[in-house]
Amino acid sequence: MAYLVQIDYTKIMSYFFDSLGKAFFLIFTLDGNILQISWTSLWITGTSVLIAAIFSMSLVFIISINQFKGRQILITIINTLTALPTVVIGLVVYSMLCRKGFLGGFNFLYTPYAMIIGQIILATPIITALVLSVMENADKKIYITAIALGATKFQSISTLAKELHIMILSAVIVGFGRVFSEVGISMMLGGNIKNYTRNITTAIAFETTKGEFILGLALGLILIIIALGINLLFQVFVKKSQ
Amino acid sequence: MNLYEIKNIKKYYCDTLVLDIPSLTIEQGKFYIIYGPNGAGKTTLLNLLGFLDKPSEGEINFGNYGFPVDNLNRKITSVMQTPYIFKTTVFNNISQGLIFRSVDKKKIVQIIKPVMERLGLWELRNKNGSVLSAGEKKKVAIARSMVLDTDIILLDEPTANLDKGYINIAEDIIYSMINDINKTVIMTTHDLNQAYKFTSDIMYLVNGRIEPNPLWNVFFVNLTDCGGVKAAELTNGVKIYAVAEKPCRATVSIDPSDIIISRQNIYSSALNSFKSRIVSIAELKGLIDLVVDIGIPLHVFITKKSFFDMRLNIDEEVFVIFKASAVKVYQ
Repeated sequence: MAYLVQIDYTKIMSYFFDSLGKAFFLIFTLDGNILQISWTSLWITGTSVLIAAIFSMSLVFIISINQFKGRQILITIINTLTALPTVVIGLVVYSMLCRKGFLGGFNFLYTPYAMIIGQIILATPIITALVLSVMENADKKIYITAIALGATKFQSISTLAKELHIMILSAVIVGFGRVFSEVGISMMLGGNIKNYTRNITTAIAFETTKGEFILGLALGLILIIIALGINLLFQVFVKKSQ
Repeated sequence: MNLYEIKNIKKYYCDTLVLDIPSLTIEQGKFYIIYGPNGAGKTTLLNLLGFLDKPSEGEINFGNYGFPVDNLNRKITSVMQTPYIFKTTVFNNISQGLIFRSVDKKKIVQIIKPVMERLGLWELRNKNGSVLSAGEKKKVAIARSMVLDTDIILLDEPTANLDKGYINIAEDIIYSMINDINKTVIMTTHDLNQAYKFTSDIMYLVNGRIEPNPLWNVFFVNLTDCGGVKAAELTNGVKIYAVAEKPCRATVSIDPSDIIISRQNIYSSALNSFKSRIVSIAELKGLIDLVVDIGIPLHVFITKKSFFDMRLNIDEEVFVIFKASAVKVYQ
């Protein structure tokens, strides 16, 4: 049995322009609720990505400096973990942080800390895999030159990281983008508590369930505008570095 | 004292044998040149000697240490053929090796400033290394190796891409390294003229193997002015004439095919004529290789036809004649 679906493009475009207008209105009027949601998103994601970047770089150094058994298996596991669904991370961390979980005593569940833990687990394999790929495909001469100048293994890997800092930062930005736009972890571990753990993505999900599609789309546009702003800042940094 | 002892090393790249050296000894405090065409394996050998790469087979023993040794790379410095310059200032590039050694910042300036000034790099100190020309990058690479003052210096085509003026400066620097008895310098070049400027002790590398020296009748001499040409004493009383731009100490070689053998002395335009005795006779690649004694042994190649027509024998007296322009001067 065939269904004839009529798509009302005019209505879709109207939705889009209405939400665009609403997004700009919310931004330019400095809507308190939007500012709070955006700030929650930014600081939680920023903290998670910063900690994940430190973990990732430590992991990259350990993997790059040492030739150990199972090194390749570890790299394969890290690459596989980049595909980890956010709801799975949310579920695993939830089971650890709930009252009966082994970390339940910390009372982190439905706090920004729980969101940060989950997001670190999400971002670390992504940043690690990208940075490892950058380092392994880098010009071998960088490493050899450092060794020829008397660098220790640690110094030569540091030199390599320094030379590739823009590409490493790109990897961190990719990680930021992934974490900034995730909803599963934030919803399951943060609980979408107003003025506390509600971030842009959970707010979008919440507004959509209420039928506030225009506000949901507007929040989506704000998310993209913030991501764009961060990428533009990165571009400025790259140009200054060159 | 032997610095390196190489035993049966082989290096493969993707199943292709690029280096095959059954035995090689490198002594401390000496200057070596590895000469060979592009793709001969010079850089591969230098990387192995600098412990920047590992042989596929065989072993390299270094001093009394064996291999590997921690911080061995701090005893050796390498100037690569196409050096990598870090994406930072010229000053930071040159000080990098000293930073790795935790040298005090004030001392770093004291060490590197004279070297940078000598190579004309001081004015470029704040310029980013990645935007330098190939020649400038080479100078930075030479400078950052020089400031480390290591006992072993490996130079891979150190003057490639340099302007003529800076080639002379770089060669002066290499000369000063040669004169330092504590330093062992191993340099690669594909320029035979440059190779013989420094030493007559040359390793000839072809297709990854060390072959006999391609030049015959090689002498290190002191050329002096002598009536429009240059003269050099090879040994007591044996003086040869050569053509050179100026008096100097230089390596000279005489191509055995450019030497004429005669039963009588010939009155000709050739300035070099010696009475000599045949010491040995051997066949070599379709020619006859005669070794004649003119005070020192000299190889002469003649065709088999000439050899049989002249009925030459060992201990016979013959005249050896060659032009001054047949003496190749490497200065």
